[in-house]
Amino acid sequence: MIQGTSVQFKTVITASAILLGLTLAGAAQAAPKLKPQGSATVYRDPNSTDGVRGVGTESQDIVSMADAMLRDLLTVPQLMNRPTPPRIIIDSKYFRNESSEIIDKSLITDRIRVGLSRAAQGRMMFIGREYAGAVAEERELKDAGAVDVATTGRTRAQAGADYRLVGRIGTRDAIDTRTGQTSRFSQYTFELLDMEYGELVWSNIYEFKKENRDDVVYR
Amino acid sequence: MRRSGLSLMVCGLLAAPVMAWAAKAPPPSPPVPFEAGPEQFQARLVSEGDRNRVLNDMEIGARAFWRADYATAKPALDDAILRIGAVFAENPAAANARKLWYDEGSKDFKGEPYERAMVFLYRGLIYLHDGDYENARAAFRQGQLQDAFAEEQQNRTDFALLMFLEAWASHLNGDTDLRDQALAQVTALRPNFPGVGKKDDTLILAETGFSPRKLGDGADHAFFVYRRGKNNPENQAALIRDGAVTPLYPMEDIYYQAATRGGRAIDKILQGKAEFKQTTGTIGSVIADTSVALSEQNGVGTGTLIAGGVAGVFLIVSSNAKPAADTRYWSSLPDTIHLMTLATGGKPPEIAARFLKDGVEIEGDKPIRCDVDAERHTLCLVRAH
Repeated sequence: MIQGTSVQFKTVITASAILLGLTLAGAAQAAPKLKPQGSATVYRDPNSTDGVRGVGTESQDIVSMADAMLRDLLTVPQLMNRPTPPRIIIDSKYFRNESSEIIDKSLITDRIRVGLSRAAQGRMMFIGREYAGAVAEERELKDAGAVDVATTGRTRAQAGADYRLVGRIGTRDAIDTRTGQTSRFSQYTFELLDMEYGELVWSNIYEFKKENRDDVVYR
Repeated sequence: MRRSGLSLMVCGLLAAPVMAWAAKAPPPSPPVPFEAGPEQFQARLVSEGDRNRVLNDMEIGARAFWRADYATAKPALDDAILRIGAVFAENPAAANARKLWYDEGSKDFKGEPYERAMVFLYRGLIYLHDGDYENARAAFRQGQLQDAFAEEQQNRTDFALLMFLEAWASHLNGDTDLRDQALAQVTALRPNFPGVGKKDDTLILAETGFSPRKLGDGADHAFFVYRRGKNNPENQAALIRDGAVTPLYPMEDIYYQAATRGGRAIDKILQGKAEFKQTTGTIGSVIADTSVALSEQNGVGTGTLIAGGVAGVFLIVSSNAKPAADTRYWSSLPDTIHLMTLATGGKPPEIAARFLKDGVEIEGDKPIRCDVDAERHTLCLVRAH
C-alpha cells in the first residue's frame, strides 16, 4: 500500500515538473523571435555613440557641425583675403527648417557666428541684423537729442551686409513596423550668399544617419 | 536525497507566486473630469513617478492647452515628446512588462500611436500660435511618423489632420511648394476637403466628443479593444459669423485613428502569458482531481497530500500570472476634430461655434477664442465641452 502510494506520488511529481518545465519553456519561446530587447541608438557614419537617445539632432551634432562649418568658412578666399573686412550676417532667419526635426536653429548659427568671430580676429565684420530694431531705436533717440551721440560717432545708416549665411535642414525618416526599427537621415546645408549679386560663394553639407529600435512593449 | 529534491522543487514552485505578489501593480488612478483642468495631474506627476509620467504630461498638456495656459502646456508636451522619442536599451520597467509576473501596465507609459501623434499635434499648434511655423511643421510631421507604427498597411500614415496642419504651417511660412505637396496628400485621403484659399490667414479648429477608450478584452484581458467615448453629446460643429452658419469640416476622427491601428507586437507576448496561465491552471486542476481520486481510493496518505500541495502551487502560479494588457489612456482627447480656414486680414474675427448631434442643434452657441501672431496670422480654437 505504502509502496503503491509512493509510486503514484513519484509519478505525479515527475509529471508536474515536466509539465511545468514545458509550460515555462513554451511561454519563453516566443520572445527571441520578437527581438524583445530595444537596441541603443547608434551612429552609422561616422560619429560616436555616447549618450545618444532618439534619432534626432543631439548636442554633439550641433557642436560638430558648427565647428566643421566655421573651419571651412575660414578658408573661403572672399572672406579671408580682402583688405577691407567683409560684412557678414550669420543668424537663423534664412536658415530654413524643412525637416521633421523640432529644433532651435539659433543653436547652430550662433555657434558658427561666435566661433568664426573669435577665429577671424577682425578679418571679418559681423552684422547683428536681428537686433536692427534695437539699433534703430537708439539712433532715433540720438536723432531726437534724447541721448548724446556716444563715443563712436554717427553714421548715415546701419551697416549693410556683403554676405549672409543661408541654408536648409532636411530629413528623411523611415520606419520598419515589423521590427520597430526607426531611422532618420539628417542633412544640414550651409551656404554663403552674396547680398548684392546673389551668388552662392560657399557651400557645405553636414549629414548623419541614426537608427534605433524601441523595446517590443512600445511597438 | 528525495526529500531535499522535493524541498528544492516546492521552494522553486513557491518562489513564483511570491514574485507575483511582489509585482502587484498599483491601482489605476481615478478618472478626472475635463473641467477639473491640469492641477490633479501635476500632483500625480510627483506621486506616480515615471510609470505614468508621459500619461500625466499628456493630460496636463491638453488641459492646459484648452485653457490657453501655454506656459504650462509647453513643458509638459515637450517632456512627453522627449520620452516618446527616447529609446532606453535597458529599461527595467519595459523588461518587467515582458515578464510573466508583471502586467503590461507596469511599463512606463508612452501611449499608443494615436496618443503619441496627438502630443505632437498640440505641441505643433502651440508653435503655430507662437508664429514658429517651421517647428510647427516639424511637430506635425513627427506626429505623422508616430502614426506610421500602425500595423495595418492601409491605415499607416493616414492622419489627414496632421497632413493638413503640415500644409497650413507651410502656407503661413510662405513655402507654397511644400504646402501643395502636403495638401495633395490630404486630398487623396479626404477628396471632398475644399482646400486652402491663397489669402487664407486664419485657422479655426474645433473639438467635439470624448476620448476613445481602451477596454480589456479576451481571456484575462490579454488584449484591449477601442470604444468611442461614452455618450458623445455632439459629433458636428458649425461656424457662426455675421449671422451665417457654415459647417466646419470634420477632418479627423480620433477614435478611427485609435481603432485602426491593428495588432501590437506585445499582444503576442501577452497571448503567451494568457496561455501559460490557462495551462498551469488546467494542470493544477488535473493534479487536484487526481489527488482527490487517490484519496478516495487509497485514503489520505503522504502522496495525496503532496500531490494536493503541488496542485495548489500550480493554481497559485496560474492565478498570479499577469497577462492583462495596458488599458491606460489619454482621457482628455476629443472624439473628432473639425476645421476651416478663412481670410481675415490679421483682425481677430468675431465668431462663435454651434455644435450638433447627428444634425440636431445642441443648445447654446460657444464663443471661439482667436489669437493673432506677430505675422498677423490667426489661430481660433474651440472645444465643445
